[in-house]
Order: sequence, then C-alpha cells, then structure tokens
Amino acid sequence: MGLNDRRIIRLPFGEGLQRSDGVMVVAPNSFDDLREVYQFNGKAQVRKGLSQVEVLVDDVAVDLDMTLALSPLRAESAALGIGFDNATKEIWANRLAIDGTNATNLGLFGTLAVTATWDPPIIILADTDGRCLITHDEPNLNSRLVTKYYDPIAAPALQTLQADLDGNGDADVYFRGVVRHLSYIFGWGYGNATPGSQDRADVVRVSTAGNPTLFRDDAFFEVGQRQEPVMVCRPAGDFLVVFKETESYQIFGYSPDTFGIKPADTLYGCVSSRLAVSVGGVVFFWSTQGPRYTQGGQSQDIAVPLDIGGPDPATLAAEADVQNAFAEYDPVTRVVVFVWGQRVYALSIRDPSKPRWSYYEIGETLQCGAQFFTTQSSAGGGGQPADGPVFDAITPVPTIGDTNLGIDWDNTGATGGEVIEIWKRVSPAGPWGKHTEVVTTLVDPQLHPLTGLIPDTDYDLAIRYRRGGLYNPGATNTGDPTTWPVAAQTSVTTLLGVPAPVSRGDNNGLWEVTGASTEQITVNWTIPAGHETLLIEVERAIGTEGDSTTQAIGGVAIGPPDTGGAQAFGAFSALASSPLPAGTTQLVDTAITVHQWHRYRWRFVGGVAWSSLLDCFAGPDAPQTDAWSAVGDGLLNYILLEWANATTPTGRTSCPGPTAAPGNHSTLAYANNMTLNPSSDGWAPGLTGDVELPYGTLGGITIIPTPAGDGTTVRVGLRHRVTCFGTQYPSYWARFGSTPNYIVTTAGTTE
Amino acid sequence: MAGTPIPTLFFGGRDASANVLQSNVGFTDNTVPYVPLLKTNPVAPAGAAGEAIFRNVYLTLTHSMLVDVRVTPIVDFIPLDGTNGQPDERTIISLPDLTGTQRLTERFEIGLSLPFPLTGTERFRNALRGAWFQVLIEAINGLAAGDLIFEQVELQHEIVRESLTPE
Repeated sequence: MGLNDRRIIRLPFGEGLQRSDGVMVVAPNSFDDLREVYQFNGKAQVRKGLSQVEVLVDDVAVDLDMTLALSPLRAESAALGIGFDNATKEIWANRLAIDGTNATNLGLFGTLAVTATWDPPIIILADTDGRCLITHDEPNLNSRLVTKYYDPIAAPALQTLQADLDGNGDADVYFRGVVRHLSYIFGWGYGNATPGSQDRADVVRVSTAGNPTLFRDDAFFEVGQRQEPVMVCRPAGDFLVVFKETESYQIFGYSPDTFGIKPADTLYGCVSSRLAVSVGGVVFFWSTQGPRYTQGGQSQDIAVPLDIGGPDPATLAAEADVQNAFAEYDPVTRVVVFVWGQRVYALSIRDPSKPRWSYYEIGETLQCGAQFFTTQSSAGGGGQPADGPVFDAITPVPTIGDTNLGIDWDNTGATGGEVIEIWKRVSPAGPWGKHTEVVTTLVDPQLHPLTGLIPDTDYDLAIRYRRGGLYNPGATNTGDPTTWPVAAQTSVTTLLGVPAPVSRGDNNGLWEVTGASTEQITVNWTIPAGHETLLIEVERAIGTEGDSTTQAIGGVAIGPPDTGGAQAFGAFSALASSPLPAGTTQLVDTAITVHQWHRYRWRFVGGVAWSSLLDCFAGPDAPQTDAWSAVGDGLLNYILLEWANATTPTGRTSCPGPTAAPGNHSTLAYANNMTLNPSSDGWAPGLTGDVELPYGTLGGITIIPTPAGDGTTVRVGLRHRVTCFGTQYPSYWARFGSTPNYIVTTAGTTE
Repeated sequence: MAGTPIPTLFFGGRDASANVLQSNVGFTDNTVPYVPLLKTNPVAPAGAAGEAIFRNVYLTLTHSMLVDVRVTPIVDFIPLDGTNGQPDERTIISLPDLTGTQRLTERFEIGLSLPFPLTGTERFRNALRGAWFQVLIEAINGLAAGDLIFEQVELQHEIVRESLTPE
C-alpha cells in the first residue's frame, strides 16, 4: 500500500466485546465497550426494555418488597412468584397468569430466621407434574426453611415436603435446591432426619419417576468429597451436571436402575446456586474463572473476551453479591444473561460456534428470572369450561360462624378436572383475593368450608372454574369478580364470637386484699382469633349465701352454713368501665362487696351471646370437703372429716399485708346437732367449744366428738379464714354430707 | 395474554417492590432509560508507530426508532468530546420515527477534521492525524419505539507514515 492512498477499513458490528487481547492483535471490529445491544453475525441490535406487569402481594394484598424467585407452572399454563417482605422477613408465594399478571397470594412459605446467612434469602423453584417445589438455599441448616411445594388442587395450596429418608417415618425435608431432569426432581443439600445426617451438603436425592414429591431413602448420590456443598444441578441433554464450587460431576442414565455418577470436570464448578442455565444440551455457568459452558463433560472457556480480572469499563454498573447473581436464557433474543444485580453479562448465542459478549445495565436491580412457558396441548386439559358454577346458598347457621363459613354450589356443566376458584372480599370495597381452590367433585351441591374469616363482617364471594389456564365464560376478569356471572356471586355476614374465660385453675377470679380497706377481683378471658379489634362489654351480678342468721366469730359477723340452698343473685348490670377497649383480656373489679359472690359475664359489643358465667367470692376459698365417717364406741362418738385445703393458704387470694403470714390462716369447723336442735339456727362452733384448726397444707383430718352417740344427725361446715391488714376475712362455707348436708353418726369401730 | 410471545423471559426486581418484569417490552427498564453504547477497539492503519490521516467515518444503521445517535471519534486513545482541552468533534445523527412503515438501512458520512482556533474563533480546519483510531457511538436523549441496529463502521484514512516492519 502506497502513501497518500485513501483506504477504507470496514468494521462490521458483530464481533462483541474483546477486552483481553492486546491492542496490537485485537480484531478491529471487536469492542472495548459494548452496552445495551445484543449481537448477530455482523450487527448489533439495541435491546428492548423491561416492563413491570405485576407486583407480588402478601395475604392481605399489600405489595411485597422484593421478588425472590419466579417459575413457570407448565401444566397450568401459569407461573409462580415468591415475594419477600423486608420488614417482617416473611416469604410469600403468589400464583401468576402466564403473562405475569394477576398475582394471587397462595400462602406463607416461611419467615427468614435472623440467623440466616443471606438476607434477602435465595429461593430455588422447580415445576413438574403440575406442582412446583420451593426450596431455601441457605447454608446453615438450622436457619433453612423447610421445603414446600405448590399443589394447585390441594388445600392449603402450599404443602410441606415430607419423606421417609431414614426408615423412621416421614419427616420434613430441607433441600437447598431442586431441578427437574427427565421425569424426576433432583434435590440437593439434605441427608435425612436422623441427627447427624441432616446437613449433607454433598448429597443429591432423586424423586420417584413422575412423582416429584415422593423421595425414597435409597435414591441418592454422594457427590465428591463430603461436606463440600453441591451448588447447583442443571440438565445437559441426557445428563445432569452437578456443580460443586470447583469441580463438576455428571449423573447419567434414565432410571433408578441405570443412574450413575462420574466426574465431569475436575477444575471447574459453579460459584453460586443460580449462576447456571441450560440451553438445549448445553449448560452455561459461572466458574471461579468466569463463564464457561459444558455439554456434560469437560467445560470450555468463554470468559476470555470479558477480561474478568481486568479493570471494568468506566461507569459500568457494579456487580451484586455472588449469591444474588443468576443466569437465564432469553429465547427471543437468543441471549444467555448472567445477571449480577444491575450489571448483566449478555452472551449472544445466535451463532453457537461464535458466542459474543456485551453488557446490559438494567435500570432496576434484578434478583431472579424465569421463562414462562405454556403447553398448548395441556393448557385447557379438555378446553375452556363451557359453563360456570352456580351458588346454591350460603349454608344456614350453624355453619356460619365467627371466622368460618360453609358454602355450597352446583357444578353446572362440569365434566371433571375443573378447579373451583373461590374468591372473596370484604364488602363492599375491600380488595378481591382468591381465598382457596378445590377440585370439582361433580356432586351437586359441592360443599366447602371457608376459614380464617373476620367476625361480624360482610363478605362478597365469587366462584369460577379453571381448567389449565382457561376459565368459564364471563369469568376471565381476575381483577374484578363482580363482572363474573351473577349466579356465581353471593354475599354473607359472619357472626360475632364470644370471649372465652380462662379456667379457674389458671387463677382466674383472683380475690386480692390490696390495702387495709381495699379489695379487688381480677377476671381473665381470651380473645378468639379475628376478634382483636372489637370492644368488650362486661356485666356483674351480686349474690349471697342466704346467711340469715349471723354470728360473731373472731370479730367478723358471718353467717353459718346454710342448708345448701341456691345462691341468690341480683340482676346483672354493666360495670362502670364497660365497654372495655378492643383486645382487653382482663378486668380488675375494685368495686366489690366483701363476703359476697360476684357473677361476671361478657361479650363483644354488638354480639348476642354472652360468655359462660364466672362466679367469684370476695374472700378466700373454702376447703374442699372430701369424705367423712363416724367412729365410736356407743358412748363417745367421733366424726372423722377429710377435706382438701386450697393449694395456697387463701386459695385464689392475694393478701400481701404484714399479717398475712400462714399463722393467720385457719380453718373453722362448725356443726349443728340436728338431733338436739332440729331447727337450722342451732349452729355452734363445734360441739365441744370453738374448733379452730391450724391451716393444713393439703387436706386435714380431725375428729369432732359427738356427745349424743350413735344416730345423731349432725351438719358440719368448714371455712377458711385469713387475716389481712388486721382484718379477718372468712371464706364461704364448705359442707359435708349429702342433701340436706346431714351426717348421721352410726356405731362404728372403737377408736 | 394476546401479544405476549411464548416463551417469554421474566425478571423479578428487588429495588423497591416485588416487581415482575417482562423482558423485551418497550424502551426503558420500568421507566428508567438506558443508553446503548458501542466503543470499538483501537485500529492503527499505519501501524503502531506510523501516522495516518483519518478522513471520514461511514456509519451504517438500520432504524425505525426516533432517536439521536452520537458519534465521538477517539484518536490515540483521547476522545474528541470537548473535555480535557480537546475539541468537541462529536456528531449527532437524528433519526426519524419510522414505526408503522418499515425499517430503513442508511449509511451516514461523518467527516473528520480538527479546528484551528484563533482568539477563540475557528478559522479553518486541519486534517485529523494520529496512529490509533476508535469510535464511540451512543444512542442518546432516550430511546423510543422501533428498532435501532448498528450494522457497520467504515474508516476512511490515508497513510502518512508507516511503521517500520520489524526485522
């Protein structure tokens, strides 16, 4: 070439990045920097953008903060999305239409432990046979969430994966990842439930053929060195490539009888659980030395043009952490993308013999990706349902409850295989959401209970058929079920529940002396689920024991044991503090009357039914009469009494005053010799004088002499007494004998 | 679902909300614009120690997108973009909106020269000379509907002084 000749150098755009070669040898039609284009042979085309089509939601239709994983549901012509709530650390599953829209919450996958290695968590999905497995790729077994799977026709839709992997029965399974290969699901990172065998990062298990949720204890591979974790598995044609971090293996065969494993590449593995993608019979993956590809054997380098170890192009977006990076394949542009947050290494493989690199800088940090497929032959599973279901009626009370409801419908036009979607909203303006789904039984009417509802709330309900991704006519608008056929819609109002009293054995009805002249009774109840926002009204009635005749005993005027007549309560009246704030579970009643019974009842404001009654005595508990017998020699008879004291000296009593020591508690025995005093007013403190017995811890035995000998009819009553702040407080009476509380002494054995 | 190619690649976002993002749609990343950029590797027509005059760049594009394409020559690894005391020799090619018709393939000629300023005023232009040449091509001011395909760059040059052939 001579001087001063004008020449042309042609630089066709299509060679991709070449950043590693020296300037003296690099091909002039390659690129030092190349962004937002993908490569053909001889041209570079500007990529299209990303369009938001949906936001994943939690169980109350609130947008979640992050999308952790996506997967197609091929058999359903739909998709699954896993979302994350940054604040609560809850991980929710959503069903999506095949175009990524119509997010419907399926339930909670789990809540990320504070001890988890990675936040956000890494979730790996695999769909097959109409179900989709959900795993938590967490190195720390103790922080790993149990493997679950989405089953569109199960209730609940999210099921926990269990398997008998050690011969000791079914137990929860904790895979780190799953992948479909042939007609199997392969799961890795878990041994079995036997302590010491759980954390087996080197184990790959295989399901039974055609059943992705059934794993046998003997179907597994130990891959390479123990405890060196399997990072990811990807199919390469007939092989399954098992990647560890710095080596890889090949599982070959097509059935449990023919499966085997052998080393594939002793130098290169995959550095993260999602940085490998299968495209046809080739797996593209990211090794410790950058991207490579394999067809099941030795891998080949494709990293050189990127000059991974060299300086990045100026202003190129930073890489995300390796665990958050992932690889996917874009079938439209035929580009393998290695996504590291906002930075994407894009490998154009339109000409597989000459892969070419470029960069994408994504405007939003990406966390996951997936291709959504539809299988047209199974999309309908028999085609679109010709007709829609029809509500019969809301089953009447009692199946309408406070948080539950029974509904029934006719499966009009159903031929089998349809899934009934049951949608609900709080009427009239709440957001619609799918409550659950069930399979048609072809029996009319078909019944189904709904649970987890809000008490005293108006609900709009709607139902439709779904077969594959198709819905019955008129019911395709997922965003607004009010547009569905009228016969597939109905409304119902749930009832109010009743706060339940806690048991008396839990110290409910505690009587307390809080000062020299102040007392109180504390009443507790529990709030049933769903009623936390409702006010509570409380009423009280005062009752007596019929103490018509009083005696001064120990300075306190109290009545004698009566004949066991019914307690007399006055009318109920609302407490001054009623209604109590929503969520209240305790009432402290300071306006009480000493030595009287107090009867309480409560309900939610607006409710009809009252709670069961709770009777509380303003004083210590009485002894519990147990048994009696009479012994004697015909002249000097005794009555042998047995009783159980309250478990504390004062029972459900708190008496913190300085005089509340055990010595100030006593048990009083009263008797009435009916033979001598047939009237009921002949009570005396014992028959031989004042019988005041020391307080016994658990039961007491004493003998009361009966002067009249055999055949004497005696009534005996016991009560506790406690002294607080210098004041004696008696309990109510406990009585011996059956109606009318008589004891008839008989000749007994000589003492 | 009509209009959605199957299969389609979807992504999940993590910036502010649990977005589900469909790929190959529109010309922004969920409203965030992006800038296609192509920077060729250096070429030395006269050899590493030689010198050449760079006369013209011919840029061939196939397009239907309303967009501005900016071409920046880089000589001896120094971009002539008006920074660092260098003259601004960037050229902007404004492409029309051809969506709804068809894609058009065009060859755009971009002359290369250097200004000779005197007291702040360009008096005449000199030939652009150097050893190494690169070109930086960017699609600026936002993308729009349609396609933009970079086909080829051709560099017209004259050899002034060739490198000596190594022994």
